[in-house]
Amino acid sequence: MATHEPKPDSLLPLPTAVFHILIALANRDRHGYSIMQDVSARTGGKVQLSAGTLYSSIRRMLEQGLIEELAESPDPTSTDERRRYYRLTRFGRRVAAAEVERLNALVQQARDTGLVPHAG
Amino acid sequence: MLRAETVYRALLRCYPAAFRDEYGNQMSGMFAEQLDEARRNGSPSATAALWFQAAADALTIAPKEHWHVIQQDLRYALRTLGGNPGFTAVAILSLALGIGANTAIFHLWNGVLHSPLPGIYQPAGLVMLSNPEDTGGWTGRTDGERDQLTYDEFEQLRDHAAAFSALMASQSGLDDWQVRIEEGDWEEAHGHLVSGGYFQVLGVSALLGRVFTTAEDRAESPYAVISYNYWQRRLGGRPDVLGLAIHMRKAALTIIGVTPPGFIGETNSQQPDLWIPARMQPKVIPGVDWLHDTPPEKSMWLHVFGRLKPGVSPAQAESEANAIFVAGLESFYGPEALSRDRRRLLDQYLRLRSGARGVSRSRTEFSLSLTALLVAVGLLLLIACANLANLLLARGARGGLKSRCGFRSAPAAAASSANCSPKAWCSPSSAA
Repeated sequence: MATHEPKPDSLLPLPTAVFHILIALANRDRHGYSIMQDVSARTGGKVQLSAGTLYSSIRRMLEQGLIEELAESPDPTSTDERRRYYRLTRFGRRVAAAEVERLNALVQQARDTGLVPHAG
Repeated sequence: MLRAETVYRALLRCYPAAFRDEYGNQMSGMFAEQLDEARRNGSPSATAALWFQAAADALTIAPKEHWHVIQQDLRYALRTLGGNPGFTAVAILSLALGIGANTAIFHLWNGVLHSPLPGIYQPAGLVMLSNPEDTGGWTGRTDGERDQLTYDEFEQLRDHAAAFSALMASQSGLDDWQVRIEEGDWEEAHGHLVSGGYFQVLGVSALLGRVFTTAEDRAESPYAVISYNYWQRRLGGRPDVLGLAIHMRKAALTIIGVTPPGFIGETNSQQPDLWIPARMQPKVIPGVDWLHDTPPEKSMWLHVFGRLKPGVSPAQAESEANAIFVAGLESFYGPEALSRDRRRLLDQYLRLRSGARGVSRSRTEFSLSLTALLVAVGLLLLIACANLANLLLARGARGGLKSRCGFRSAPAAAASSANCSPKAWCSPSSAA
């Protein structure tokens, strides 16, 4: 049965935690702790996702179809059976791209008004 | 580390069970790894921050997850109800009937049997020296507990009982009197004879003019206080009502006050039009004298209400009232009659009761039938719920059968399942 996919714009603006999770899953499938570590590393420790925030966001993203849970671990060396891996869906990528566009437009507006200098 | 995990799992109890079942293990594992990392780095502040964050999550994220579950349930319920309008109508009608009947009967039951008197000051502080479930008057002599008092007995109690801050008396029952306002036609009005302290004990002030005072007990006072409803209904709420004359067959009264709206007196379910001082009884009800008793007959026609002085217990007040009451009986019957039949003549006593709910004969009359009615409508609601549960069960069973049939008749299932054909799962009788 074909499912009706909502428009990416309908989910914007994304909550900060959701956007960080989408970025963390952009290049590879990850489990929760790995997502948290990636976000922390990318932001120089400025953004620390707590377990509650992370899994509440994951629950919502699964419902919205932004990510999916993998049936099996992609890491054959992993021994922790509690770990579940998540992957970005095609829809998740479209939503992330739409959010980037939205943020770009916002930054552009700030530059056009002289609020911040133009890049380069 | 085991203790830390136990504590963290306890914090997870703040989340909805479904969320906990789905993500609890992962959250707990992730938290353990974060703790390990913080300890490896030798950072106590990082460990404390982790615990603080976990507690903050339980206070902020968990309620949001609960709200999410509630929203999901509501959406599911609305979808289910919207998809079956017939079933929804039957369910809502059954419950509306059951709940509506229960609400109506409970309101009636509570109002008649349990509600305090409306429109009076602190009804819980009122006490009675007569039987609130007895109405009408008696002449003669009674044994045992006294239901109503005579005017003489009331006066003795009012003047000598120190346990009460104030006492008042009111006529038991509501009288229908023929009255004429100014030069108007004769008409019927419902009224009460009351002692001067009536309004003071009930804690009611006049909306217009004044109410009676104890001065009305000292001499015949040809005055009347009318109710708000009577003022509105009969006199159109005219502002110059004070001073108007109310004529009775043998008396002419002057309206001196109007009671506030909502006040109906000391008797539940009765709404007097006017109150007249008890000292006016021989004029208002000519031909009888209920103000004075002549041995051996007593005219018992009054309910007596009062308020206890601060620090006085009901038992103390009852004991004092009975001492005064018995002294009055001894004086009334006299030594000669008492020497002949002392035990029988003095076999009377007063009982102090709560006056919060006022006088109500209907309380006794309808107590059993109203309680039975309440139980009956309670059963009606139970039957409505049982019917609804049956309907849900029937729908659930039919839905389950359909889904099993649907699953088995799917092409892939049919192809792969040789020993479980659609026919076997879905015979015409079972599908019906």
